[in-house]
Amino acid sequence: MKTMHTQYTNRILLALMATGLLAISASAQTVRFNSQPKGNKVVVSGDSSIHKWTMESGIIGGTMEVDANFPESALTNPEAAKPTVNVYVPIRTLKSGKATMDERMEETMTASKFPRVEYKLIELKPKSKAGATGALEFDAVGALTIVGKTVTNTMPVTIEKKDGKLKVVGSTPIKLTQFEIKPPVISLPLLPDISVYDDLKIDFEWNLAPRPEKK
Amino acid sequence: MSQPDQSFDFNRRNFLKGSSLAALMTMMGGVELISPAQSSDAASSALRKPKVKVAVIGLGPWGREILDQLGRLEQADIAAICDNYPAMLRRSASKAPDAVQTENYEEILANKDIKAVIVATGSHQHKDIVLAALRAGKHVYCEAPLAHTIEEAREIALAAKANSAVVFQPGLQMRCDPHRRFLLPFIRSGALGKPIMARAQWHKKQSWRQASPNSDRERAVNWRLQQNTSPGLIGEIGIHALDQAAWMFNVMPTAVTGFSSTIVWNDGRDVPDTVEALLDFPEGVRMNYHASLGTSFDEEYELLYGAEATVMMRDGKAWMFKEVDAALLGWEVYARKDNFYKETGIALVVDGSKQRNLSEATTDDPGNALPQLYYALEAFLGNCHEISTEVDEFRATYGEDNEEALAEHLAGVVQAREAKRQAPGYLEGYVATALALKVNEAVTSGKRLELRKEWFELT
Repeated sequence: MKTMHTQYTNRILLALMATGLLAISASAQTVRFNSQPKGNKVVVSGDSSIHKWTMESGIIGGTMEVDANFPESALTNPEAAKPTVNVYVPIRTLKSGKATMDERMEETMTASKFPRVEYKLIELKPKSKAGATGALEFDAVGALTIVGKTVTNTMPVTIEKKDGKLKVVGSTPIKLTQFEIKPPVISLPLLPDISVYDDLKIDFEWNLAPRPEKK
Repeated sequence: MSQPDQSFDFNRRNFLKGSSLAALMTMMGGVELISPAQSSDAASSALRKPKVKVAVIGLGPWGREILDQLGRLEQADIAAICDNYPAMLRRSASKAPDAVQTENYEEILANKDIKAVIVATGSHQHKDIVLAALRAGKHVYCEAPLAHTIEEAREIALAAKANSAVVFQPGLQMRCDPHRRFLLPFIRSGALGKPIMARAQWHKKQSWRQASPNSDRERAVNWRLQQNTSPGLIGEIGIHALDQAAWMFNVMPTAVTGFSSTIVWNDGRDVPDTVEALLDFPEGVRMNYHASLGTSFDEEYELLYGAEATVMMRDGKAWMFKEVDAALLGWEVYARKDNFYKETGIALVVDGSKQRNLSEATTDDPGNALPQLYYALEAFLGNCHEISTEVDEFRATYGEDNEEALAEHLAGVVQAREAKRQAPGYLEGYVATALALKVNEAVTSGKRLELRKEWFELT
């Protein structure tokens, strides 16, 4: 009788261990999400001595490597809150609707030497409560690199997983001088100079999907 | 031109003299009536323009004019020139000394470094070259008319439509002229009052016949003189004025009656040397267009008549002639005025302020105005660079197998671009060509032709 009881207990323990291992395995499994070619948008907005301005791009490149339960897992698991995330925006695709302004921006940003704005996530600090669903709120701490100068940036983001795809939405103020960029002053013949102000704002929406299996 | 280091040494008179009418009108609380592109051009002059490797195919007189204008554009890197007649290549060589010379356009299309081609051959030769260029992924500037038949023009336009990763621009250079683009909203806003009629002419005493060393070359070089290869004066010249009227009025004509004669150049050609077309627009508005190789009197201009005022476009400028009972527009008091026989025209032109006229002999001289072709090519090269950049970045980011998403992405870029470097596309090129060819049909047959809507639809 004792033997039967021991055997039964061992089976239960084995089953529990297997379930636990599977769960651990599932949460530890890394999924790589790639940037999707549709639905991305980054808007840089600023002000000048004559008017406000914006520049937009529909191209955001990069990847996220996260665990299978991300982003919910990042609310409770400190390791899950440190996924590998690399993002970039090609400078030349930022457009204002005015050719001259685009050319001047490319010149100011030395796009030929530094063709991308780059971002690397360091960690996500949860703001939503554990168990929350939908668009989860975090403060994203990351390294933002513009014209070769890297600055640690903290910005509020929401991350939502829907139908297996991720959508990241965020916004952050930056200053040109943080990146050692001198705010440009545009001289026009017989008119007052136009000064671009130091403060900018970056808003973005980034859509990702799991990397498709190679056929 | 003022020297940069003298820019702060000016008095009020100099300020008014040198400033735009827009600035003055803004100060006076009036209406802005100059092209804003002028100030941005000044601001951008110091910026380095990205270069585009471009080839010119067809080196007749217009092809050589294109080379001249490309030579003025910083963006143009003329990589190759092409003509199937070696003498034309030699004649053009000095205009593009670093360009590869070839008699075979396929060599240009095979060169991956060349991003854009300008097709300036005879209209009847456009189709094969343009379709091959689009297949090769080149940006294409195709001279107007797109072709000498509607079927071929449609084929070209549909191929351009299907290929969103490249720029296609028809040679409707008047649509790129900043003065005309400035004038467009002015006219469409009803500043002329109810439209009454339009008139346009092109008069040049010249034969159109080019000298040639043998009969084969004679046929090839004088393709304009035979109806089986040429859409004649209407198709080759009138297309621009007809397109402008439809563009400015923002409506297509509904019928056309045509007349033609060969009066001066009875040399075996079957293309008339004098043509006249009367086009019906909605609401009783008509346009009279005539062109002749038999007289040069009064050269070329366009007139748009309205119940309140008439606008004349001539030599890259425009003037408004007000009716005596028309309401006074505040800004016109300060605008520059020029006399035309018994009429006084209010200049609708950049820098056309009264103050400037006080100290400068502005007269009718177009001065240092750049030709419309320059602006058209500038827009084309700018757009080529922008679209190439978007395509390259998109493919580098998302891979090569997302062409549907790329087309969607470029549609947004093109929409933004149209508001920026404004240039016509395949649809405008097709519609203008179809209109010109139908008007030519009426002119050569001497009949009235109802212009059916479906002729202008790209299906």
